Amino acid sequence: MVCSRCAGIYAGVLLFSFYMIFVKIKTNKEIKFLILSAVPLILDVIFYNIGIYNYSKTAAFTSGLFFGSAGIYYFYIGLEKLISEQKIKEKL
Amino acid sequence: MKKYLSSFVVGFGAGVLQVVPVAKSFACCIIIPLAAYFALMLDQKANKNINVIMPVSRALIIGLLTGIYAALFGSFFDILITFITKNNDIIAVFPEFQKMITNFPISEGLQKEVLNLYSSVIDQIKDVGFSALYTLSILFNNLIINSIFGLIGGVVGVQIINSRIKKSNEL
Repeated sequence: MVCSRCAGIYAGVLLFSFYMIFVKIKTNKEIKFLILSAVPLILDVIFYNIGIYNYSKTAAFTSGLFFGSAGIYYFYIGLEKLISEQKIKEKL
Repeated sequence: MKKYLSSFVVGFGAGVLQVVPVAKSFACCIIIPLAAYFALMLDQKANKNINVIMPVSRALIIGLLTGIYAALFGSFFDILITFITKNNDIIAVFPEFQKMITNFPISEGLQKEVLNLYSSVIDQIKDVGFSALYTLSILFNNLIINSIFGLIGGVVGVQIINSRIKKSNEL
């Protein structure tokens, strides 16, 4: 069992990885999108903890969804680089 | 060991943050990947490789080790605090858990068994402050989750560091 936030992250990873299979996405190495996607998640935790609103599974899930979607994209680029590094090593 | 000292240091910090009340809400998803990123930066500074492109394979190892160290330290502090205070989050969420488990599509016998197991863990924590089952579950849970997020942090973090190095080399 995982919390709503983590479930959102995993769902975002799953959905965006499916999306990346069918749609070619431009490689963007700027990290600001990852940081921006983490902002709702951090704000949700802070607002809930200081008592601005009660814990909402929907808010936690949605904020996690954004972060998971962005996270898998950067992870995918990293994996591509790792594979190319390994190929270069094999050739040498 | 000295080669991966940065993972140890940052993993310790991340382990401590895992038991801090507000910070632990995003321990797995933010703190561990951030810790892996800081471990990479620390490793570069310690080895004086600030302007050298870091291979992703090395970043993976550092991220993984950071996650493992964070899991070990985080579990240790969690168990220690539970032992001292004889209280834990799972005691607070037990009534909610009882409600939730009855809505699960599993047989009544299994529900009873799960609840018995859960309440035995709670009794042990309340009595002596230690439960072997809780210790094992928290340790394995942290080891698996933190290792995965450490790896992710390593892979993503190395891209940030390498892109900065490339930019500064171009200038």
